[in-house]
Amino acid sequence: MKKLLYLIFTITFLTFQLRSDDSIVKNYSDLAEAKYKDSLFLAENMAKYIEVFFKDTNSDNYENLKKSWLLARTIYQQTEVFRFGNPIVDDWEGKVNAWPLDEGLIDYVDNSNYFTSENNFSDFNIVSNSILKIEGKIIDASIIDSNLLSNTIHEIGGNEANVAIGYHAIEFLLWGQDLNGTNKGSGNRKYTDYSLNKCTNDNCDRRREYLNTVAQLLIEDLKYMANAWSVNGIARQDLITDKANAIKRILIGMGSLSYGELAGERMKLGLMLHDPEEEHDCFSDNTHNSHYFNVVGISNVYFGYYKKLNGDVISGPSISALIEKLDSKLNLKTKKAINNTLENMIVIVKSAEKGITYDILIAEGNNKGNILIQNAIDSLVVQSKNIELIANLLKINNLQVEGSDSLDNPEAVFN
Amino acid sequence: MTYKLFFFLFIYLISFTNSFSRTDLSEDEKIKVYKAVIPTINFSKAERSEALSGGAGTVENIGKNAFSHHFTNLTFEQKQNFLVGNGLFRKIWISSPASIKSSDGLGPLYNARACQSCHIKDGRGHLPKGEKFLSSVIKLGAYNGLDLNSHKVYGKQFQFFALPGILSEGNVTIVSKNNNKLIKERDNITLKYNKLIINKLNYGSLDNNNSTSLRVSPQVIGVGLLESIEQSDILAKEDINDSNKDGVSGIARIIYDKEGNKEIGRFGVRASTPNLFVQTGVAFMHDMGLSNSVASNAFGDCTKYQKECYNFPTGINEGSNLEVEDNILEKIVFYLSSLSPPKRREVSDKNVLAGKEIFYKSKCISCHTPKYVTSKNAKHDFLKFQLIWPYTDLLLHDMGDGLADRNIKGEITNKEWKTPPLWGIGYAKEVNSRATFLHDGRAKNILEAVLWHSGEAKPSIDFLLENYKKDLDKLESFLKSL
Repeated sequence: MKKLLYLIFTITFLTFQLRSDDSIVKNYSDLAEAKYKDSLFLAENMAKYIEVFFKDTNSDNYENLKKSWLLARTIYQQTEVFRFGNPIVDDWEGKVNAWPLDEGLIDYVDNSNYFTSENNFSDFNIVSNSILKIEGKIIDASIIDSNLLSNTIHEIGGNEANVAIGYHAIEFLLWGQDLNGTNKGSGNRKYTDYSLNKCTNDNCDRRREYLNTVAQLLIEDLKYMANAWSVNGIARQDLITDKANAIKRILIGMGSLSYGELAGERMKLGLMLHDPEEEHDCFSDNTHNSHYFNVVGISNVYFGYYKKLNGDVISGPSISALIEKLDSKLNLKTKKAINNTLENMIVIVKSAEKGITYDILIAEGNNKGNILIQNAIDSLVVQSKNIELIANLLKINNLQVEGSDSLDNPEAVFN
Repeated sequence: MTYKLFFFLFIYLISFTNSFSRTDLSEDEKIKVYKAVIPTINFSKAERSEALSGGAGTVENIGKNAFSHHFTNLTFEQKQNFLVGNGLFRKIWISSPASIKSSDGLGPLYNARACQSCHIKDGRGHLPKGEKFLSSVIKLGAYNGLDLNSHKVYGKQFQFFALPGILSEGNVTIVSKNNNKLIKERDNITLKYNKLIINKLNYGSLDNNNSTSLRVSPQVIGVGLLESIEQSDILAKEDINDSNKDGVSGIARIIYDKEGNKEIGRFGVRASTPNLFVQTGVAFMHDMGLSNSVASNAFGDCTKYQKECYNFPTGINEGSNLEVEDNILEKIVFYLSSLSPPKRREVSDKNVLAGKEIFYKSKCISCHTPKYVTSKNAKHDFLKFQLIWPYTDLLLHDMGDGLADRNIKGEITNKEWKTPPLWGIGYAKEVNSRATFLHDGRAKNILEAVLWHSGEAKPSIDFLLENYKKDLDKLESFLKSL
């Protein structure tokens, strides 16, 4: 009898646990869908500004267009938390957010400090060249279209720096190279680079064609991902049907973005080298916002909350609520850690808004600035450690996507 | 019963020989490891965990990025190091003087500006096709035994790029030529070798004795595991004078470090470097002209006869007098150490298993040793005590005249090659569609690469063609499954 009671209790508990997992995964997928839809909306909004600017090519319309790109980044960067842990997103991501890029592939670059690059494509300058020689073959590039950019040019020669499409390609087309190093100032492209009657830097018609194509491609790609998270979409289904790993994958997404991608590749490397080339949004000097909104995305996933652009709120079962029930102290610690990261990021944002941008903060010898970046890195590390503790609490070993015989069981690979 | 008795007797005997002298293992573990690495004789089904080429953390990924993933069992902290290392691996270095001290120092002569320019997607490089010479190099100099003494003017290798204000070393094209002798021998399969045509030499002519050796950049997966193989396991297979009379005489390349300590060479086509740190330091120096604690000439591969080099500012940092600090090399070494070989495909497929049997029965495994258990003293947890399947003995073997390096006159200068690991070979063309095979990329496909083998491999290839000529496609299926 005792045994039976125990069994019933266990089953009830497990069912409860499974059900709560399901509802967390559903709410997470709703967040993803809403954020990709909002990203899409802002990309479409940017395309409208391109249209206005092309119709009436003046400095005001150019500034408005640049603002629409900055606005588009605010939501997209929040979606990066969905990238890790969801292979469908990760495989797709290179089309929209590939970085860093060898910008000479796309358009003119400063030649005053020029030397022969070994990248066969770094002086391709598609804007100026309608005939391209690729691996001994002649390619007709007289028409710049999505097929040329995404299928022929993007990642050409297997080189990941050959980025032809996505947010950062648009950023370069709108701002141009930032030639100020670790000094004040971002890229300084003039609106006349797009002017048909007083064109600067030649081939304005082709530059317009390029900008328009790459914006349309971004819209297509975001549409695809928004659909992938709809009720029957492949990304949502891929996660929901992977019942055993779904929560683990959500945690991997939060942890990998915090620790590896953001604290590591995007922040620590640049700080270590004091190199503005390692700055994430280097043309526009928008790096502070890119990093800040990454953390907002992580925070939203933890709390299962997002306020959409139209004002509607998504709020539902979350990792935070689950942990509150199991170990409220750990939940409190994690909340504090995430808030601490947000605060440290806001310090960087405020500094940038006052003109001390990210590239100045990482400069060699700028000890005060370096410390601000280091603080943010440190708080990201603390945040990641808490995510690991949560994984331990949920008995999730080894925060990994691919299941294989693990080190915890070295015997498994013998015999 | 008798079988068991013999087995233990065998283990007992073997534990007295050089072939089983691992100091990192307990007696029980030695037996376990010994059993685990015996090559199979059962080809009716796949061996357990055979698909996990790189041990427990082997990554399962296909397509273009198949070589670019870390082992699955890294901690968050290790993942961060991996990504920082990845950033450095693809970092484009710049010339001095630049406002960014830690990123400058390139050249004056160089072959590439970033690691990944040559190790394309962490995989192989390819030969130029009417474009700039990138992702392959030409080694220069005269051989003294296994050692290559650099050319007195050009240095260790040709640099095809240079900073503005100085000439690159020259211009070379490559043509593919039929090797008539081998066509006859190998029946219907046409084997072509590469011929170098030197169009231009900017620093004077090369003497006839100079060896010009073409090398395509290798893949960099699984190298941390190769570094974690115990020395005694490598030495156990060494047989310099072919005392067991099997026609195969592997040589372990002995390298002396700065303090005069002996180490076994593991990396480079002739096993000239003992570990990833040295290999990375040497590559920084010769390929990109960046000085570091392993190779410290701030002018890169420039020799004293290339006087123009010395007019250039260097990128050395205060204190260390180096252009690239150890912490950067260490991050790259960590990155390389954590790159996983991809999980094998179709291990249980009928043709793959048949091909595996052919591979084993033709004694390809004499040099392409299937498996090892890595050291318990390896540098990182994910590298320790793993059953791995690299298919190499890390020893040097005479591969015959056809593959040999030659000098300008066409005379053979060196016939010894380190057995390359075969893991990931089936993914090579997915990662880089232009990838070809062998040290100089002369083989268009895997079968051509097999048929180029001669010298110590001749008995194996003869046996293969005599007994399995109609089944070469099966052998290919097996190799492609790696």
